[in-house]
Amino acid sequence: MIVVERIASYVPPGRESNFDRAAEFALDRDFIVDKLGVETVSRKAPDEETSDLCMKAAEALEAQTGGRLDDVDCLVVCTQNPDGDGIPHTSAVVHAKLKLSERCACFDISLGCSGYVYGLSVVSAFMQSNGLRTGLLFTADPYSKIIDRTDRSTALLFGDAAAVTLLREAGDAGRGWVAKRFAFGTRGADGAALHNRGKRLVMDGRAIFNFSVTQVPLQVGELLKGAGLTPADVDLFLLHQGSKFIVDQLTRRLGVPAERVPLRLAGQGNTVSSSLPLLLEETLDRPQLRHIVMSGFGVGLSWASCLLGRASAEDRA
Amino acid sequence: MSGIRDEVTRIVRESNAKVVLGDARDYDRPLKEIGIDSLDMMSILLAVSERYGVDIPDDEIDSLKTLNAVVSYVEARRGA
Repeated sequence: MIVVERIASYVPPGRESNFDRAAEFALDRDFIVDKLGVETVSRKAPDEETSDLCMKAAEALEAQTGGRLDDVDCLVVCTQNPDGDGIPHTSAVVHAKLKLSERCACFDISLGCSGYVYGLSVVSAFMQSNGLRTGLLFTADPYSKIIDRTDRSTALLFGDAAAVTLLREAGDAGRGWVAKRFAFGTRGADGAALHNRGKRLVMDGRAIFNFSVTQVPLQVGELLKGAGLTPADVDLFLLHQGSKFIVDQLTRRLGVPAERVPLRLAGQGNTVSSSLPLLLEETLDRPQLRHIVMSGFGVGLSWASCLLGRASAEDRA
Repeated sequence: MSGIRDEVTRIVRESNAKVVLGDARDYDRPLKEIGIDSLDMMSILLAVSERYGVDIPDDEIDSLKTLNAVVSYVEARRGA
């Protein structure tokens, strides 16, 4: 049984205030607070690479675990803004910086906002099928590399961050969280709604909104039905932090109380595939939780949801 | 027509509880004046599309400057 044992993250200290740019985009304070939900966007330093963000997250993980990460069998980076021009793969760059064993498997996953859920499934299955004991799943997609600062539909939303999830073969320990069920969806024909054109991010906000608020509730409903659960059985719904507006609309359509749908947007913005692990790291240690649903959606168009539960003896069966 | 207007009113209130709809004149006021911003409009138009099966292309949204314009748009596309 592969479990999520720990998560650590790094949000670069650089910030741009959306309030400072409100007049430039003819926006009022209420719109920024109540609709975008993003008050400042995090920005990496110009010379900071995607692998550097991963390394800072890894250092935070080492600080949590109290030891060097030297027993890693598998290292995966989910990004669409890799180091340099993408060759070599960023996971290999991080592998070198962490000075990991040559026996460690490394590969990148190219996905955006659905990437964390996909990544959990891919890494867990890869570890399981190859008998690996320790895996690191990084998410790091610094959109500041491709954001047009004059584009109000993206410049005020996206922030830079990285997260790393430590996955382990639980053995008899039985601690941590296990992904019990997944659901995936793709609508490639509408992929132009969010794309990189000549290193400039272009987003059709209405298309992304319509897709997200119609497809995500359906997928979550099917996921829960397949698990024999109802929304009332779920302690927390961790939804990709596209914007406060989109999370609020999804909350309403899912028919769940807002207090079960946490937000982590105001201080850094939408951090693409890192938005879900940033939420999950704040909840892993809360003892009263039993079921968590996560859903990521965006670039692709792609959407993926999963049900997490506490690891237990039955999961090893 | 009043049925569509009632339904649009319900959708608007569900999308944004802060929207002010005091009397009939509010349906002819610019959307921003009654508290509907561009994101609310996305939500309202999606709900209207789902309710009436009417597609509203991006290039026609700019013509929908009031709630009565939305109601008329739906009415015309449904052949009511």
